[in-house]
Amino acid sequence: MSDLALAAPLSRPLPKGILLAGPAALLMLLLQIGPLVLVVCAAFTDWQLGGEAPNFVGLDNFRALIADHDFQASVLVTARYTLMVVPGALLLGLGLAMLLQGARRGRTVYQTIFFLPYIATLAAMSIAWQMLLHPSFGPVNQGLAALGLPVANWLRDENTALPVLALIGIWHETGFAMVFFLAALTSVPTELHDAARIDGLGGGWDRFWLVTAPHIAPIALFVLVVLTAHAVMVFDTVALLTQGGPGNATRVLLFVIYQEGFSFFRTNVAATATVFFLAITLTLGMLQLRLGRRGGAA
Amino acid sequence: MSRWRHPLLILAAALMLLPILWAALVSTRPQDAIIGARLLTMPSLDAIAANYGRAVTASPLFGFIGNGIAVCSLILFFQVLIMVPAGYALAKLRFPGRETLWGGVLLGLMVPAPVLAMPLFVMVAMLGLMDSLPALVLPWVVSSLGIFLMRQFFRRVPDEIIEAARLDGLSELELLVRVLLPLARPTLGAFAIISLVAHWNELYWPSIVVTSAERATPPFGVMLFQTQEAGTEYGALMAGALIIALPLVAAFLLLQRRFIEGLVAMK
Amino acid sequence: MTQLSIGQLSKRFGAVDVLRDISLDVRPGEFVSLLGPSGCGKSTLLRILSGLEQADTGSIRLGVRELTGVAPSERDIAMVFQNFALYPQMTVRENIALPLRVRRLSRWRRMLRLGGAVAADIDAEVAAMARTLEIEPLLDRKPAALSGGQRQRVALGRALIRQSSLLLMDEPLSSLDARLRLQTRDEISQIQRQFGITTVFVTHDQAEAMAISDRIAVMLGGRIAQFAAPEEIYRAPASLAVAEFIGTTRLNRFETRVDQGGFLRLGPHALHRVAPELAGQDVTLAWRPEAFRLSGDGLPVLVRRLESHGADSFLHGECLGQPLVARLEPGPGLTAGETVRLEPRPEATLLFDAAGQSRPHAPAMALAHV
Repeated sequence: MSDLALAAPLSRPLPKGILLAGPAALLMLLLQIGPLVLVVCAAFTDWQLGGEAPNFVGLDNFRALIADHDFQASVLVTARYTLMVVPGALLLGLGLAMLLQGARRGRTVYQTIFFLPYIATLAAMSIAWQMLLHPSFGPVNQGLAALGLPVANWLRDENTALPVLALIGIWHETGFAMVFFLAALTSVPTELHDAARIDGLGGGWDRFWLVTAPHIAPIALFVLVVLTAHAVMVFDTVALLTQGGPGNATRVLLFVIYQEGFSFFRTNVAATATVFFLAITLTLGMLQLRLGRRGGAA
Repeated sequence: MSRWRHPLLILAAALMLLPILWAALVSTRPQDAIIGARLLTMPSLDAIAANYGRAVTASPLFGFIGNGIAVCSLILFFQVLIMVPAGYALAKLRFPGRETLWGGVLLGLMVPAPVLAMPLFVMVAMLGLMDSLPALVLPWVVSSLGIFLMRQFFRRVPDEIIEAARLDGLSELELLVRVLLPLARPTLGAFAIISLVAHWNELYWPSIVVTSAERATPPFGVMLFQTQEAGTEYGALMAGALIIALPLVAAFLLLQRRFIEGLVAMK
Repeated sequence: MTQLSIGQLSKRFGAVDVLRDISLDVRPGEFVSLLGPSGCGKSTLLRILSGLEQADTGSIRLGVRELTGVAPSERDIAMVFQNFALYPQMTVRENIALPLRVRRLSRWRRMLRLGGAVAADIDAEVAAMARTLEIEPLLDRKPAALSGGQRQRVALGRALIRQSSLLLMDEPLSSLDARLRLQTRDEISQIQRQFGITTVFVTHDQAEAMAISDRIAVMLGGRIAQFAAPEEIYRAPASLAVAEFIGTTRLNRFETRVDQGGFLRLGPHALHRVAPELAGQDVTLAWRPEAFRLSGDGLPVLVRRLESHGADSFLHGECLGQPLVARLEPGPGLTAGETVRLEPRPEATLLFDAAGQSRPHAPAMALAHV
């Protein structure tokens, strides 16, 4: 190593590392760190885009936001959405992975089909869902009516709009969760299953808890965190299907930020909500990085 | 369990495909059949031609797709151009500020795009770049994930290869392009897929900086299309939605193993 | 101590015959190795014995009990796996106790950790086993915190605690490093004798099988090619294939023909007279490198290269146009290029017929010059 260092020309104006990493560093400063600082700063001012010079207002924005009933409602809506989508996609993803794991035939085909909703542009697929759920000629209502069951205007009813969006969310994310679970299940040593059978745990359930569950627990935790991060950031289905309505029933956090910042141009309010949002996503991001590393990626 | 495996899998597959299949079904029927809920009839070629014809004329669908391709490929091009040398420098070279930069990369990994949208929007507006191609591309040319993946990859490349190349007289740039880049192809492929999927499907940022149909990317185009008068012509609407989703779905079907592995590699 | 009898066992995977008509009797308390190259069916046979795999035809009897169709956990067998298969989330104590807990406690009592007197018994048995295996200090560790050798002992403990009639081991030494392998091999042997448990041990390593087994079943191509004590397999391989598989260096083979008078010929040299029914047939003569000694009236060998191994040296040479390797005691300097005479010891001469089966020959066979 020291020989090499001597062999290399010593008197360069800049270390090679700076030349190679410089563009990335500069752009990160300009496009990520700078904006991040900017948004955090804006949260402490009364700045409105296109308005007068901003004044420092301390924590006023945060107080106002926390006291704001609409904002409280949107936090609650986001939480409810997350609590429906995450367990739903997690359990379905695990279930499908377990079904697939034992399937000898058609594994690739099923995997492709289950993963398709995650790839297919969600905005376009939202339109397809709208068709399925159309109150008068959607097949869902047609089917329910044929069975003599009550029908609903799914996306226009305060009670059903959010669960329906959550259902679409589950549809979108299940394949994503499944792929991770399938990878984890495939990596369970068959020896452990054999040992469990000889030790007397022949039944599927016993063996699941003894062999499979401990092995996939780290992945499950990772998937949980990633799904939560996805769910907290839900936007597409809301923007296309409900616009936050009916009432405030589907006004999720990101949609609030979108409206405040880009429709009403209340920059400071949007910035404050963004900082709140950042706190959540940063926590999830840190967890994700930790768990992902432990999962062996890093 | 094994007796129920395939029935359950088939049921799940049917449910997963239901929206797509239904959209396909609706896109092949005339408007009166759709509204009259008489869909289980024979599809008519006339209706297909009418719906798909209307979909591509009512709004610039191919324009959306063209924009999507332009935006995604430009983003990917710049991302790779920037992340490869940066990842290499972080993995194999010593220079002042390396730890700070690595900290920045990790921070960038944890900050989701929507958080940056507000200040980036302000910057775009101030620079007068609203509703332009640069507004769609520039904010995303540096990818923390990309730098992270490249750094992790280059760390696994043995020093001997690099030292041998240097002894052979290769410059740092030649070393990167001729020796290391070919090795990094799988990682680059995985990243390309992650990047393409993310930016093709992205709705939030385009809906902030795009105001005209000329600049609309596919998801934003869907939104425009839906709110137009043609939005109640359901057959055409479904045809449009399918056309928008098609390029990525087709790519996925062609390369499905690599897609899935690529997205798992994101972990 | 229980006897294991395997009768006419066969198994096909698709179009491949993995096991063909396997019959084997293992005496009570005996240590038997299944030895063969990878793909010879030894692991499949072990898995069939364990019940993890089903045979197509044939029977397995353990003592007086027929095992065919019996679930793995009901077979009264224990198994040690290649990578030990310890449950990573459990401590050593829990790993060893598991087979007993599963048998003696209901699922609900296991889950709620209500064991009562039964659990106290189990604890005592685990403690006793840990003492025997000298792993008491490890009882509260998890497998990840153990060395390879320690994991091996824990795996043995979990297998032995049930006091099964039959112990199955699937290449249990192959995931250890070379030094540890020797040590653990001796320990396994000692523990097996101490417990007196009938044992079937799968390995592809002939030195391992030779060192540890009472008898070895050499498996080649899904059949048992020979089942005998280690030294007999070495000294009197039943077939050319076994002879070639066993032994650390290449076998020196010479194809030749028995003349009509029943004399074996090698080039211009006539050897001893052999069984009359071989007259006129093609046969193969084989010697291991250690079969030769320097002698004035042996086969002429051109020395190509000499290789010293300290205690002995290897001569790489040419005999009758064929390469030949001989292991010799280091003696007065041979040099490359010279021709020496090597005489094969008669009792170390192997003779196989055209089908590769071993044929007896007169013990006092010697070279005679024509």
